Amino acid sequence: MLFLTILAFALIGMFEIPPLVHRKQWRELIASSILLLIGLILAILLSLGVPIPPVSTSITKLFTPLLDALNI
Amino acid sequence: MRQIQKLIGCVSLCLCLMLIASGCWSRKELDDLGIVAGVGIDEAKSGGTYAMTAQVILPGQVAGGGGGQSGGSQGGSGSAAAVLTSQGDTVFDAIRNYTFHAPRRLYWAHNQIIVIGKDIAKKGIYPVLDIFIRDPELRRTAWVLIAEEKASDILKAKSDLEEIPAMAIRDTMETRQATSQVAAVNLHDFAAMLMSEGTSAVASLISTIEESGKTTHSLSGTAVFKQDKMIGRLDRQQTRGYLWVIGEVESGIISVTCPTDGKKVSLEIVRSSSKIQPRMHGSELEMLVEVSVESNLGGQMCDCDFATIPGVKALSKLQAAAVRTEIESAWKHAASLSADIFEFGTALKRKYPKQWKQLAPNWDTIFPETKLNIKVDSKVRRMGTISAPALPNTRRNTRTGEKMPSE
Amino acid sequence: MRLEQGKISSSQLVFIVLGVILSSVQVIPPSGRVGRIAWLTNLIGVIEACGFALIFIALAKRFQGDTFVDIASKVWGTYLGKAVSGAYLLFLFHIGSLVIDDFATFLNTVFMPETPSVVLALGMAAVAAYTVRHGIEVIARCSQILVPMLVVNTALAFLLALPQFELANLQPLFDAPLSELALGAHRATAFPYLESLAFLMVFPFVSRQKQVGKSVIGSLIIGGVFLSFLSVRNYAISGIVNTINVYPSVMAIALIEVGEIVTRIEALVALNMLSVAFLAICVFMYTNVLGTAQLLELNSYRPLVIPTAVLMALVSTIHFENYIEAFVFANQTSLLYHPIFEIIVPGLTLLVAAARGKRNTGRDALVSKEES
Repeated sequence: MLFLTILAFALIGMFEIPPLVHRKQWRELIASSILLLIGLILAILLSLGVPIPPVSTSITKLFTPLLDALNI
Repeated sequence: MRQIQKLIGCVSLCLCLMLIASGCWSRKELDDLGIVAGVGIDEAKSGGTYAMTAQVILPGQVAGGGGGQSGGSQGGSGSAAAVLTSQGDTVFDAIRNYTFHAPRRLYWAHNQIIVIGKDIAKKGIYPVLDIFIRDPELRRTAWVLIAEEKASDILKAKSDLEEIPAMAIRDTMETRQATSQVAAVNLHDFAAMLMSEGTSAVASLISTIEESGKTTHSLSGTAVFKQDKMIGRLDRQQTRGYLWVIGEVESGIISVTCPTDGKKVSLEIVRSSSKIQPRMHGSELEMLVEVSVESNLGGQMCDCDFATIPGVKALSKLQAAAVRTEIESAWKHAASLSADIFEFGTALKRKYPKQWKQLAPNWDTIFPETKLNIKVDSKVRRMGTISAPALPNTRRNTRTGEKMPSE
Repeated sequence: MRLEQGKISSSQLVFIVLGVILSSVQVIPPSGRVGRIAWLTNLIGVIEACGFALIFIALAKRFQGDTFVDIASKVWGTYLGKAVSGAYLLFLFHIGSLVIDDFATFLNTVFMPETPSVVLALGMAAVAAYTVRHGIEVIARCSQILVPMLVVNTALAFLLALPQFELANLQPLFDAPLSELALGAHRATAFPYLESLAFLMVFPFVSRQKQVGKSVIGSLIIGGVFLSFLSVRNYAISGIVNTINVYPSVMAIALIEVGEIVTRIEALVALNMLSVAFLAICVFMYTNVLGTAQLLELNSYRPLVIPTAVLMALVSTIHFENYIEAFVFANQTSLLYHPIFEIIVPGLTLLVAAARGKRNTGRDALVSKEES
């Protein structure tokens, strides 16, 4: 699974990066690489089964006091 | 360089598509499936658990039998459906326990009927039905039937006219309109009746009968529920009374007695409709049930000539009286069970939402006290292809209407 | 260099907004617990939403040709502006990946229980990414095809469902406490109505700027009437069971049986959901990458599309741990969370802009942007 994940990201990299290097669009390269890197880290964490707090539920938790106060 | 990139892109896209688009997950090959046509659930002997009987279609047999009459009963037993049994702590458990002995994965999307044994029906049917409503593979259009005895007997019974017995039951449910003496309730309707406050659910009753030495099934009436427990039954006549009220009579034969010589006349119902109007006079509740029925003279056994204005009038009066009797019989029975099968409570809730909130908790005691006001708008329209009985003039009795007992 | 050369017509804007509004039908029924009076809360919600939509329209008028990122940096200054638009972009990202999650959950629940949701999410995101890379015009044209198709499908399903129709199910028509009505209406406003306007980003690309306001209000009203119609239809078919159905449209249409042949037409509903989910994902992904590219002052947003799509799909799998959390989010959290970005941020921006007398100074912003 981990191997597949990395392979998939390598393929995306191969597809994305050469044209940017070719056109010397360094800013774009950095931005897209950072996004891709975050994705890669997240994908690796997910495939390793590392528990990640649920995103939207965290937001719900953030709002819970207010929701309770408003009695919704 | 660019072309190579494009090539790599294309190839990897194709690979991805091969992986995703072919549907690796949840794929179901036909020859690995056992298509369930009907299912029956009883209480297991061991107590507390459920015994399940599933009728599984054997595709090879269906094709062989359907290919031509000459094939007849070819290949082994010649039955196009196999009956498999299983047990489990819950219904779902029982379903999955089939995998211990059934070589095929049972596929439920084509399930047509759910038969529930009387034992379970009396103790409460919802625990059994929940999975059928909840699971996306099962369809809510499956008919819900209550077996007079054990559900497994119903599913084991055969039909001469249909290769797959469950399909035969499904088809009899669909031809019920010819008599309108069977309430047809599918899973969705049943769930809606269960959920609706005050309403008593109903479901068709099915039993086995002997026919030329073989056991086959027959629809025998209507089971009446309170919450999800079966508390009584309506016979076929009462069932039609019930169907008149809820406006689901589509066709059927009304037998009335000829006023002159006491022989029977059959009126064929063409269409009917009904309207329930609750009225509140202070604390007194009145349900106005307006039924309109239209029929044709289907056949007569007497000598009367009804092709006169008074004759037709007499017939329609007799028809109205017959309909009224059926409704009253159903109403009396329902009232004695204090089971609001007619959804009077719902009608009340729609018209008087505020008052309903007060009535609802005591509806069981209020319902039998409700005054029922039946109005039947009865019409006899056509006479078929003859206008008078095919009898010599001398035998015909043309003075039908005048001999009517005055109402 | 301009990030987006494309132009869309105001009718295309209507279709896009409609697509996003209708994409909500795949999630929890737009007014959750209110059940029978959902049609009413949907209609009242539209009125509320139209009121708040005026903020968006005023902003779009004041800053003709500017996306939200431009507006924020003009109104709030460079740094604060970047922070505001950054938060706004995160919101768009979040909503986009929520739509993916909703769609994957829908397929998982009803049609493909065994397929891992990440596969569904990635598949959906991949198609959306492909579309987004081709720009706003392609998204607009997709919506022009998909939304009318949805209307035709719905009409077809409606006709087939007519025998099962029982309008009496909807009676009594107005029997609901006022508080529930108001809450339901506000819920519908926060989600889906105003959500569909959260992409202030696309307004500059509408070719006839003067009609933006008209199209937006028009599409909100059409969307609201359509959603109301759907809730009437579903309740009339399913009756009281509708209140516990997770996917009311699917379950209502699944009851249709015309003979033994026309059955299982809930596939039509699934098709509808697929098309509007696709549109909504495209829209949120597009606005997100476009805004990010503007924020980071890139020359093109295209390199960001695939990484964003992958990230969206991955995040979509970690929104909730179970269905109940999703239900709570859609029915409760969204009441407060969505308005932050749908009402408060644009509202404050408009106020500050008015106070500071900021507006787009260039006669044609798109030209002036090219010079800078």
